[in-house]
Amino acid sequence: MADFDSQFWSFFVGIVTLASILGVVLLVVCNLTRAKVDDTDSPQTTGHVWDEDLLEYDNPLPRWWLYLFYITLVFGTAYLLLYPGLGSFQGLLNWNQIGQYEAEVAKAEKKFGSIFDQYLQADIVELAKNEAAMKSASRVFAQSCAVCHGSDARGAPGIPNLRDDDWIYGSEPETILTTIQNGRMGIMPGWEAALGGSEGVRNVAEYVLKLGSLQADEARAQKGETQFKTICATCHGVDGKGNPALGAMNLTDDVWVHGNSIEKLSEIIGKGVQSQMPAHLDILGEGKTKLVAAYVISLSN
Amino acid sequence: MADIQQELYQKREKIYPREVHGLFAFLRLVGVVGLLGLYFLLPWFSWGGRQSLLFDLPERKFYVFSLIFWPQDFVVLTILMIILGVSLFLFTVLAGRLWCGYSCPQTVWTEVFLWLERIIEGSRAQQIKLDQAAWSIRKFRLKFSKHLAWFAISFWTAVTFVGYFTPIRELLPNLVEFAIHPWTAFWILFFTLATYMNAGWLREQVCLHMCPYARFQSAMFDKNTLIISYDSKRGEPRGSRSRKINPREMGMGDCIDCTMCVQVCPTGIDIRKGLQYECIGCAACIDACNDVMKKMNYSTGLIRYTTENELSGQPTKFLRPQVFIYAAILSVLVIAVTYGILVRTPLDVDVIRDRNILYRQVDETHVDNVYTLRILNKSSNEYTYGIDIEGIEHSVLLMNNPDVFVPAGGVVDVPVTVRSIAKNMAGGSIEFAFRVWVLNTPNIEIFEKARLVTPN
Repeated sequence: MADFDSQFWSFFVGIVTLASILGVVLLVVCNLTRAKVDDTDSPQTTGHVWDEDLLEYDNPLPRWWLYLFYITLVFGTAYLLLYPGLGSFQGLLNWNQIGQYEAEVAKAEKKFGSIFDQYLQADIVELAKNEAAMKSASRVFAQSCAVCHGSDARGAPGIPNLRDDDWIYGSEPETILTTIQNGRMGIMPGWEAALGGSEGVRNVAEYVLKLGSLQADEARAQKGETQFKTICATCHGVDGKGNPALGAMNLTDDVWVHGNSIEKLSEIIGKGVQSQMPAHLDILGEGKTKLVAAYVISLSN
Repeated sequence: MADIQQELYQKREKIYPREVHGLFAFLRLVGVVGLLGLYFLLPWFSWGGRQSLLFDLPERKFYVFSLIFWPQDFVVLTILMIILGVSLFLFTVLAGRLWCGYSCPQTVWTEVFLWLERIIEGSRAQQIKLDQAAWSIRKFRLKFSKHLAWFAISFWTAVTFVGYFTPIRELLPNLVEFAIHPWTAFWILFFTLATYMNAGWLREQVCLHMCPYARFQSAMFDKNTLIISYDSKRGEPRGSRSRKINPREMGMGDCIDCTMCVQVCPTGIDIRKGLQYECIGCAACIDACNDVMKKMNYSTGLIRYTTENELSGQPTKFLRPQVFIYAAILSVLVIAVTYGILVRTPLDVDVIRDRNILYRQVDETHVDNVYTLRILNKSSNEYTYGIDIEGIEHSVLLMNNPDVFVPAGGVVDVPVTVRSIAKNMAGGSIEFAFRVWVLNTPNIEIFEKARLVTPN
């Protein structure tokens, strides 16, 4: 009842509820007998007549019917005592849905936690060869990773393909595990101002195409090369092969996470791009993240 | 006159049905023994290493001999229910409340309880006398043993019932060791009490006040329906008489007013008042009356299965339109469900499209569409399945492992990628199908529709 400022409505609801129950009790208790119209043995009728001669018997109800009323009243009262229902009264059991949710989660954790705990000590590369482990890993992947990386793990625009052998932050199992557990924040700043406007950006973009052995405007690429080597090389390296420690991408291979059209490259170089891999340690826990790391390795092999 | 008070809620008058022997009592005994035998024994039979009849609710799998039903097969259960309903209509139109009199669980268990009551407390007269007597050690002993016996049979009923949902061969040892799940314990307790209350205390009240079938079955009666009826033309005027006299000369009917028919009635009615909604069609009064008629050297059948037409001297017509209509509906349903079960493909496939992107541009020419195929092996054999795409050109299927192994009764999710050469295809959304089949078993296959999206 936190929706209301005062306790008035809480009391109002509580009092109306209790009054209704009391009213029903009175109604039942005051109607245990009825007047008998005549003292003959013939069954009493309701007095209504339909279709000229159709009468309705007015027989007494069976006694257990009355017991059902009593049971309902006792149940209703007990329920209101035990569970929230009377205004803002929380009930003697102190039950609420958050508590129930947490209890269910704890129960599931107790039941299934041990399944994943057995992988805590395992070697990731060995784990990737364990068929049974990979089966449960594929389910964790479908649950938590596929929504961005795709069910087939081949990624999407801006989201890396996990099935090739290209690794932005490095291919060591521990690095992959770190990526999954702690997440990554990939930042490519925008360089439009530093490159002297859109012309400069375009030139660098043409050079990046050339680095990737794609068709490029040779004259622009040559202009872009100088700027690349002074500005971009800091992270991407003089040869453009990138730096896994920084997450700076290798621009010389044929993997293009964000696409390789000249428009897209110009946009990224000019305005920059940020991509985030969220941290999953808190969501999945140690055992599952390790399992997923192994699964990702098993996919690229 | 209006000041006479009466109770609004009437206390139940206990009915003490007298024991009855005869053809219909025998038929009911056959029904009781047969149906209870099935009920109590069926869960103990095994089929292929598991319980022959098991309704596994947590796993959502329903084992019926060689078949495994899944929630997806719910329509089968629906049709079975409709078949039961239509059978009830057909039998009722033909011969009245056969169901109530011979096979309803309420009747069957009540018969068992009455039988126990008779063994322990004695005949109808002895039971009435015992109930009127003051409390004594003997009365306490008899009542105690009766309720104990009732509880025992109720308990076993409940254990068997739960045994249809929890493997009964594991349930029993666990029960002995008090190692059952609290919910199992709850349901055993619940069904023990429900059986005890229904068959011990509520009895005919269930038929009179609670059962919906009781009321709507009467609505299907017509003048050609077999009903249990007293032949008042022959019976009236009733009255007691000596066996030696000829009733015709005295102007009397054949009814000697011995009230045997009333004493045997499990719902406590007098059949001589005509057809009443309380009559469950158990035919106990027929057996009782025939006995008396034989003793009187009269012909039997003063109370008999007859029809309203026959009683009023009209010919009875058994084959009438509603009989044919119900029979036709019933046959169609039975054939449909049998056919459906026989040709059922023990395989189900759901195609779940990836929701993160419509399609993935792989390179200049190629476009990927990603799906998860959920393969349900509904059979009791393990199978290896093949997957292919049908009805689409310029596309290939990419999979981790081309052969998908699914254990018996298992579900496996398979991520698959359809790689297409987009420029050769019409743009937009194209319909095609996944074909999933059991390798080396050509007759188990399924086509599941899917949509492929391309740019342009």
